[in-house]
Parts: sequence; C-alpha cells; structure tokens
Amino acid sequence: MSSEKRSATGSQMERSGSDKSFRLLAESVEEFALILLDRHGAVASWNPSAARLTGYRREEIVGKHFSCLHTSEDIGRKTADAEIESAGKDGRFECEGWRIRKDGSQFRAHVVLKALTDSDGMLTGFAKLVRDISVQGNTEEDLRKLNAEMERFFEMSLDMICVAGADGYFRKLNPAWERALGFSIAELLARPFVEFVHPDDRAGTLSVVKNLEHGVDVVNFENRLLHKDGSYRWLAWKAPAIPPGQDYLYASARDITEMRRAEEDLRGSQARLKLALDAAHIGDWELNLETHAARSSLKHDQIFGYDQLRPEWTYEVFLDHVHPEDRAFVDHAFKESIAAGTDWYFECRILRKDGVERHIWTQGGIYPDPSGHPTQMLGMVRDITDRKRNEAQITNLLQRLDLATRAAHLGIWDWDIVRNELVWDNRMYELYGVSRDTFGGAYDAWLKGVHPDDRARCDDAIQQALREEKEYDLAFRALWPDGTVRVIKADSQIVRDAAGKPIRMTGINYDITDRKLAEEELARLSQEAVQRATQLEAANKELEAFSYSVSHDLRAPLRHVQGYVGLLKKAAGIQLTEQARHHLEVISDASKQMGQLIDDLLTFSRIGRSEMHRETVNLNDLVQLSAQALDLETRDRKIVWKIAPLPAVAGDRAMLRQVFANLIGNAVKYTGPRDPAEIEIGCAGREDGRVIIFIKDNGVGFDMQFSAKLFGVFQRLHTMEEFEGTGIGLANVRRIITRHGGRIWPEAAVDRGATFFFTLEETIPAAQIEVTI
Amino acid sequence: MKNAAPLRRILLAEDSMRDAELTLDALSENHLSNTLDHVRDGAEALDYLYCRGAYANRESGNPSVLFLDLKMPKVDGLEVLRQIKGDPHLKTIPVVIMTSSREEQDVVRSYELGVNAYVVKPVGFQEFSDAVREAGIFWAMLNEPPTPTGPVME
Repeated sequence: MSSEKRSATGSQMERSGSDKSFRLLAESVEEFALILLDRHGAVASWNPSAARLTGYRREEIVGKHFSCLHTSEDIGRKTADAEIESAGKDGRFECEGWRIRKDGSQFRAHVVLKALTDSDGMLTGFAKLVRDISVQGNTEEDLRKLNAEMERFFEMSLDMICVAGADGYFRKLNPAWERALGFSIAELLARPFVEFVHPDDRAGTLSVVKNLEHGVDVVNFENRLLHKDGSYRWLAWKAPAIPPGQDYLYASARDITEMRRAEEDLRGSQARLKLALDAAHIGDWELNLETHAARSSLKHDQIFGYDQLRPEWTYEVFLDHVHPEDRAFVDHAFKESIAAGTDWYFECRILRKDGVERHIWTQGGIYPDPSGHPTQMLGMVRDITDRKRNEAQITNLLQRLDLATRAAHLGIWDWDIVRNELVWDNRMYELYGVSRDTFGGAYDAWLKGVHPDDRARCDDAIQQALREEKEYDLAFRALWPDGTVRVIKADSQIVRDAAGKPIRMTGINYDITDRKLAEEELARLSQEAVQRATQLEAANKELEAFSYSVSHDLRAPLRHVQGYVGLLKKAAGIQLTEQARHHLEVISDASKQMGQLIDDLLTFSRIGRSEMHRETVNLNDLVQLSAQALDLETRDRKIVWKIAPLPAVAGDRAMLRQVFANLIGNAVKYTGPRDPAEIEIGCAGREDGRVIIFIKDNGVGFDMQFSAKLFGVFQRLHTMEEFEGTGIGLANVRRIITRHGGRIWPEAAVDRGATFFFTLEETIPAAQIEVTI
Repeated sequence: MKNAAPLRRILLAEDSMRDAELTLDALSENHLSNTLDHVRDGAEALDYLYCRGAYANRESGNPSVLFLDLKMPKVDGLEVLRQIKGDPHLKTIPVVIMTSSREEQDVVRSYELGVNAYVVKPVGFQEFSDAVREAGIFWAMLNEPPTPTGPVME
C-alpha cells in the first residue's frame, strides 16, 4: 500500500513541478535523445532530438513502453526490464546496442539510464539519454585513426596475414612473411602466390581457394611454401569464406615447420622405441589404474601366446595368465606399488594361452594423466625363460664347481692386475686364517699373509710368471695372524690382452701342510731305515769277521791237537799201553767232533746272512742228488723209497738242496734200526697258495711234546751214542724254509716214524714236469 | 823225469810253528823236507821271492811251489798272491793256498787272483799229512815248470 502511494506521489511530481523546465532543457539538447520514463518504463517525455533519431513523434510515443525501440532479440531476452532493474538498483545503467527506428532501420545507440528519486529517495522514474553512435568516427579523422591502428596490428602480428586478389597475386602482406620465407614483400608481391607453393601442394591449395569462393571457411589447411634459401616451410592457414561480390580474400597463416618437425621427431622416436622393444623382444602395455582396462602391443600378446592382438586386456585378465603359485605375490607387489607410487617390478611365471609355462620380467611405472592424476601405468614385459634356464645352468655349474673345490679343499683367487683387485673365495680366507673384513683385497694384502721368509720368493715367482719367463707353480708358507704356519701350494694362469700385456691372473691355492709333514716323516723314517740297514750291515760285517776268525783260528788248534796226537802215536805208538792209546783216541775224537760243530755252526751262520739267489728249482733233481750223496750210508741197507713227482718251486737252489740233504739224511739215519726202512717223499696238498712237501719215514720217531726243541740250535732228542749229529741240521732247515717264506712242522710218535712237512712257492706243478729219476 | 836236476826249493809261508812242524813231518816221508824254506809271514815271503832283506844273498831262482797260508801277520796271503801273479817274473810260480778256512769269499778271491790250488787243511792228522804230502809230490816233483827264470835282482 505504501509503495503504491509513493509511486503515485512521484508521478505527480513529474507531471507537475518540473515538467515544464525539463521540456525546455530537453528541447534544447540536439545531440541526445532525452527521454523521461516512469518507473515502469513507459515514455513520459520525448524531446525533438528523440523524434529526429527514432522517427516517432512525441504524441505517438508517450505512454508507450520504451522497449518498442528494441530489436526483436532484445525483446525476447527482456533486455528492457533488465536495464530498468539494473538502473533502479545501481542508480545508473549504461550500454551500447542496436535500436530500431519507426521505419524499421537500425541504429547503433549509446544509452545511459539514470534513476530519478523524490526527496524521500523513492524511485519516481528514469531519465534516458540516447545517442546515435552509428555515425560516430565516420569522419575523415576517425577513419585515418582506425586505419593507422589496423596497420599497426597488421605490422605487429606474429602470424602471417595477407590479402590476395582473384588474379592470383598477393595484394598486401605483413612483415611476418619476410621473416618466415626470407623473401622481401616486394619479391612476394611480384609473382603469383601459387608459384611459392610446393609443387606437390599446388593442386590442394587451389582447390581450397575454390572452396573459399564457394563460401566455405578454411581452418588449418597445411601446405608448404618456398623459402628463399630453397627449403620449404610448412604453413597452417585460416581464412574466412569470400563473400559474394568480393574479388579478394583475407587469410592468415602460421609457420608450423618446427612443430611438424617436432611431431616427426616424436613419430621417429616412437618408431625407434618400437624397433628397440621389438628387437629386445619386449612387449609394452598401458593400464588404466581406475578402470583396470589395458592396452598392449602385439609383442606383448605374443609373449602370452597369442598370434594376434587380443582385443581386451584388463589387469584381471593378466592375473589369470600368471602361474597360480605366483599370483599372490604379483598382486601384492601391484598393490604395494600403487600405494607407494613406486614402480611395479617383478619376475614371475605365466601360463601361456597354449598352457606352456614361461618366465616373464615386468616393469611398470605410474604416470599422471593430462590433469595430473596418477591414473595410468605404462610398462614393459619380456620373456626371460631362456635367461632363467641359463641362470639355472650357471647356478648348477657353480654349485658343481663349488663342490669340486670344496672336496679338493681348493681356494680360488682372481686378481685384476690392471686395477689391482684381488678377489678370494671363502676357502681362501680359511687357507690364510684371515676374515673377509680384514683382508685388503689387493696384491699386497695377499703378500702380507705369506711367511716373511717366503715373500721375496713368491713375489719373484709372480713377476716371472707375468713376464712369461716361468709358470707360476709354487709352494710357500702362509703365516696366519695367530702365528699358525701352513704350507700352501699355488697354481695359476694369466689372461693377457691382444698386445700380450697381462691383465688378469686366476689361480688356486691348497693346503699341503699335512702332505709336507708326511713327506718329512717318510724322509725321516727312510733315513732311519737306512741307518738301521747300515747298522745291520755293520753287524753283519762284524759277524762275518767273527765267523771268518772262527773258521781260521778255532780250527787251527783242533788240527794241532789231532796233529800232535798223531805225531805222538807215530813216535811212541808201540810203547803205549792200551789205556794210553784209548786216551789218545778220545782226545782225537773229541777234537774231531769239535771241528764238526764249528763247521756246522759256520754253515748255520752263513745261511742266515748269505744272499738268496731266486730261481726255479726242480725239486725232483734235489731229491735225486740228496739220495745219491747218501750212497755210502744206504749201500748196505734195505730201504724202500716211495718218491712221488714233485713240482718246481721258486727259491735258492743251494739252500733247498741242503734242506733235502738234511731231511733225507735224517730219514736214513733214524730208520737205521728198521729192516726194511721206508722213506716216502711227496706233496700233501696246499696251504696259503703254497705247495706242501713231505718226507716221511718209519724210523724211531720222537715224542711230539719235544717237537718245539726240534728246530733249536744244538738241540738233540737222541744221544750221540744212539745217533750221531751236532743238532744243528734242523735249525738250518727251518732257517732256509723261513727265508723262503714258508713253514715247517713235524708229525711223529716214538717208534712210529716221523714226517716233516714244509711249504714252498710252486712255479710249475708236478704234473707238468718230466721226471727223470 | 829230469833226475839229474837238483830238486828246487819248496817255500812255506806259515805263521804257525805247529803247522809248519806238521807240514815238515808230512813232507819228510818223501824226503821233501830238506828242500823246504819256511817264512813266518807275507812280508818275509815277498823278501824271499825278491831276494831282498834277510834273503838278499840266497841262492837265486824261484821256488818250485809256494805253500801259502792266508791269515798271516803283516802282509796276508791274498796280498802276497796278488803281487806274485801281478809280477811277470814271479807269476809262473805255482801257488797253493793252504788254510784252515773254507770261507767261500776266500776261495773265490784266491782263484780270481790266479791261485793254482786251494787246500783246506783237514783237522784230522792223517788227512792233513796226506793232503800236504800229495800237494808236495805233485807240485815239487811231478809238475813241470816253465823255463826257470831267475829272481829279479834289484
């Protein structure tokens, strides 16, 4: 209600108080149309300028809404209401726009709308000032200014701007052309512009010009234009269609040569990258981290067993291809990489489309999309099955090498001579008693571990080997930090460059301390043996000298006893009593017996120390010879001989002859009381690979409880009165058999005969020997 | 047989007087004992053979035989044998080793040096007498020596 009142009051004020004075003012203003509007926008006052400007007379327009001057578009947009509202709110509104005259023609209007208020500040209406600006600047001065301004833009533009005529010549060119093509403007204007176009691009260019004439705008047409240096520059064109009736065209162009080169470079880089990836058998892929959609190269798909590109890849599809046992860690690595923003890097097994298991290596990196969000992963994949296989083989070889070196306790070293880097394996540290931390890893560090007394020699050996004078093959002492001394044996080989310069030395060390000790022990033992042999020889010499003396000096007195008994008997034989003669007989016999003892003893001693001459001995011959030698004793006796063929054996012929002579002699002697005597000689099987020979008689025999005494020196089981003998024969026999590596043993009983068995090494069996007895 | 020629001397090199006496007794049965010259060791034997020292004035000529003991003081029998057989003027003298020893090494060594006979003196009296007599008869009476050569005069 109150606003209604106020509005009515304002309207009254307009019409009454200032109405007359305003009209006077308004009519005097010729340059502007001065219009009063009520607060709703209806025309309240209209000056003559307004009438001239719009064609509406005062009486025609007053009371009408001022929007009748607006274009139909502005009416549709309710521009008038917006103007009033804006002016009502801010007190003033200003704009430029098209307005319609009564005759329907348009004029460009500059409008200022000012709100009018009463003394209470209430809106009473608007004063509107309209100026026709269509003709503003059309003056000569304005045009000149505009042209100059345009010219300046034209000159300044970095883009090439041109006006070309229908005659095919440029009409006007800005300086950018000179900069781009090197020709002067005059040169460019002097020839039809198509002559500057690359021959291959001329047809296309003319066709575009045709399009312009047919009202088609040109945007981003690219062609090549000649540069003064003979090269061509790529230009991108923009030109509006030529309006009908116009016989020239406006166009602007931009030099895109560098851009195109960059593009080409990029394409080249991509091609090279693809070539490199293909050559390295690397497949590449992209993965959208939000959707898990993936794209891949053909190579990538081939690695997974596809002949052609697989249309759809996702992270999940990839995971399906991973070997079930590897899936968990691959997925874990993927999630970790995304969480940390780091590379996704792993090796795993996959099952190819054909089911074959292969090893792959994959690396993916996270990249931001154009808006900067890390939504994309780019990566590569490679089939490393062969590498894995080789690695496994190498590992296997290394393990075997390790086993071999460990089994042989070999330490391996590798010296980079150029850089003086010495690398040891674990065993080397054990050989030198040092730890990996304390070892210096260079030549001097090794030399430090060598015993000080051996260092110069070792260094010399290395230098000689490097100079190719001598193989490096050396034994030396290592001195451990704890003072232990070990003997080390070293072997090596040298690697040389093409010029023969040594660049690397590789070798082995092993501990020969124990071997050295054993060698020393052996040397000591053999020295001892030599000493003992020398001592033994000396003892033998003494024994020899002793028996030599015995043989000379002991026999001489006996001979003298006998000799002088003989002389005494010769000189006084007839005068001697029977008893005296008996005494002389006893003296003679005793000395004779003593002589026999000495002879037997010397023989026994000789058997012990004389050298054995080993040969093949036919035992049948020995038996025959021994029997013949006993001819004197056996001539008047009845003896039944049972002699089986005997083999040939290995031994000393003279010694074995003594064995048979003695045993057969014994058999003859101790069968003395038998008539007939029986003596049997033969083989009794084998023992320990040796043949057993036996000599058996039916003589007086002996009690086996005394058999142990049988082979002792001077041991006798019978008295001299029963059977003659010195008691040394069987001792000789046993000594000979023992020296031949055999043994001898008896079987006997008192009055039931005796059998002697002994073993010898058979060389020819009895069956193969022709017996000549 | 050259009966006209006087019997040449027998030289006995023997350190044992007893053996020498027994030898002399054995040789006496064949009247060879008068021709026996006895020296007590190897050095004397060589002096005798080379007509030097105590024997510088002896009747010249080599003995018909030398009975040589092995084990003697000063110069032993083997050394005497070696010098005789190494001297062109003496090596034709028959040398008979007469010794107590039957050591193999002595026998071998003696024959290597060129001994003419090696006799082991038997212990029995009769055997000893027989051996010496037979050796004397053989070498001094039956054996024909080469053309006599005089001792080397120094």
